[in-house]
Amino acid sequence: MADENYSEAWLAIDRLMETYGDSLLRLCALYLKDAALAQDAVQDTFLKAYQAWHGYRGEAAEKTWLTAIAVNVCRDYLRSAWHKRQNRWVDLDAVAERTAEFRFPDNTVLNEVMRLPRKYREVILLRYYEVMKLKEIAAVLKLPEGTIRSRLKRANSLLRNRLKEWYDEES
Amino acid sequence: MKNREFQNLVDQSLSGLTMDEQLRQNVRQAMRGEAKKMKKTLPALRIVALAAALILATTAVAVAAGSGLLDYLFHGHSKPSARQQALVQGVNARHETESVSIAVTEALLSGDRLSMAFSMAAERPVWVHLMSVTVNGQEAPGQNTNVLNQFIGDPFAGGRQEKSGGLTCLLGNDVEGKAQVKVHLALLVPKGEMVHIPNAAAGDEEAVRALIEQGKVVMTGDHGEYGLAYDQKAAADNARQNALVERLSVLYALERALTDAEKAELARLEAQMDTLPDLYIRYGNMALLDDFTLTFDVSANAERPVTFHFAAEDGTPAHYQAVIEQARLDAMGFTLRARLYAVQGGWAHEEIEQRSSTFRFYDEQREPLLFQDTWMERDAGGYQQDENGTRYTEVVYRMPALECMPTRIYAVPTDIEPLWEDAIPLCPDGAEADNG
Repeated sequence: MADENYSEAWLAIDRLMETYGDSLLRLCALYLKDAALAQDAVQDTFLKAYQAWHGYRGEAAEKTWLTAIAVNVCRDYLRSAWHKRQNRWVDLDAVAERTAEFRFPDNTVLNEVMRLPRKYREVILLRYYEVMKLKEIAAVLKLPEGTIRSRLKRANSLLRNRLKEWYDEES
Repeated sequence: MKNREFQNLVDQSLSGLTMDEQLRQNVRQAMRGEAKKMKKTLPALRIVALAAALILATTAVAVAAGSGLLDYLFHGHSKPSARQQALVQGVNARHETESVSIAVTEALLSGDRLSMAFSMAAERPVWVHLMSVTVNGQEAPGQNTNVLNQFIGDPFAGGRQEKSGGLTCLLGNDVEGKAQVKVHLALLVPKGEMVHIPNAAAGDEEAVRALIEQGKVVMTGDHGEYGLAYDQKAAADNARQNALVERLSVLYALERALTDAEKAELARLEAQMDTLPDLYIRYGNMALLDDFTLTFDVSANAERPVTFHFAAEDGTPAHYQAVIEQARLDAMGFTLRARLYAVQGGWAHEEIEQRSSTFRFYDEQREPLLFQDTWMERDAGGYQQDENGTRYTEVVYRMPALECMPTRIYAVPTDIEPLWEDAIPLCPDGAEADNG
């Protein structure tokens, strides 16, 4: 990759961190149910985005593209606790220090979302937190739109049973 | 649920989690390292990069020279590398009669895979059927062909027809050094008038039978790729064959390794079964024109393949145990051979069996590897017993060569989506540290 491409990618990732960093970090936290791991994951997400920037052609919106990378990173982490402990570029001690005080709030809604099986949790997060269209979620998760629709329906139905009052009030 | 409320709820609840300056610095530091690192090449795979560099210098010449075999192998999906070009050997094994000429012109033997190119010509409609291939006396079942088990050219066109293409066979083991190859072919010709039934469906069965009974040769299929029909009902009524099938099915149903005596019995019975040419001749109004064997020698690719191992540190399948028997990439393709065992609390044998044919392959970015969208051979399923008497399901996947080498290959059973928690992670030998 030529130097100018690195510079362009560098500036782009800096901008993306500013724009989407917080929401991606929180998405990862809810996805992984682990704040420290989420910090690791979000850094990994931006590094992967940097590595892939020259191949990004803008077919998907930046947010969708980044979210897809983040979801893949999270899936990797969930599958492999080992990933976190490898020879990585993150100073894990520093991460642990920064997140030591962070506790997930005792929030019924978030608790219930995090209790959902992963396949339902991810569609709820992408639909209602990242405010993605079904088509975009399908692109991120590499699943047919019909599958997303049915998972969302099932996820909502599970949540509705557990959060009856919240749903009644909100919907 | 409403988007905005949920978004606010999350943002308020997790307001303590932000992409702070320290996190951004970490990313920048990593990006800086990445920029310096440029594209890091796996030590074991430097030869691949070298070959890629050589392509620039040699591809134009090589492609201009042309290789029917490589055209066949790559279907025009990708350009063969210089390394692959160099492996193709010229062959001159020919069988000629007044009306038919069939020759093997090129061959390539790499690892446990033999490919060869054919050139054929016929002055009349001739069906070429592959009976068997042996390499050093060992059976090498044909896996892919675009030129055999079909007519030479268009049987309705009249006049001289020519056809070229290839065949790929799988060997039980890697072959080293020089190997003797024998290709047994049968040539069939129509005895009666040829009739074409395009888009033949199950409902056409009676019409096909009626035409065959009139002495006609029935061809099905469209797009110029003709299938040869025979009277399946008459064939199914063959009592002798049915008795053989009965005896064979007992052996096929055994869920254990066969004894030598059983293997011999199996081979003896199978040899008595009608082959497709038998069926075409007996029940399809075709006649045997010729039956011959082409023999030639070919030298095996001496290059060492890149072998992969199970990257257990990257997770293990949640619902079964995988034992890798062979995972390797050589000049001509990627092969995975593995045993899948049931584990307590995991998938039952039946589910493993069912899922064994659903594997797809992904790189470290979880992107599907492109080769499987060109073609992929799978030989999955069927229970076997290992040396300890434990039951397992064997899976074998073969695919064309990769253009770029991933640092991980994930073999993933799929349902509607990849079942990632049941992925088999594979890592090239000597490349464990490069997973950043």
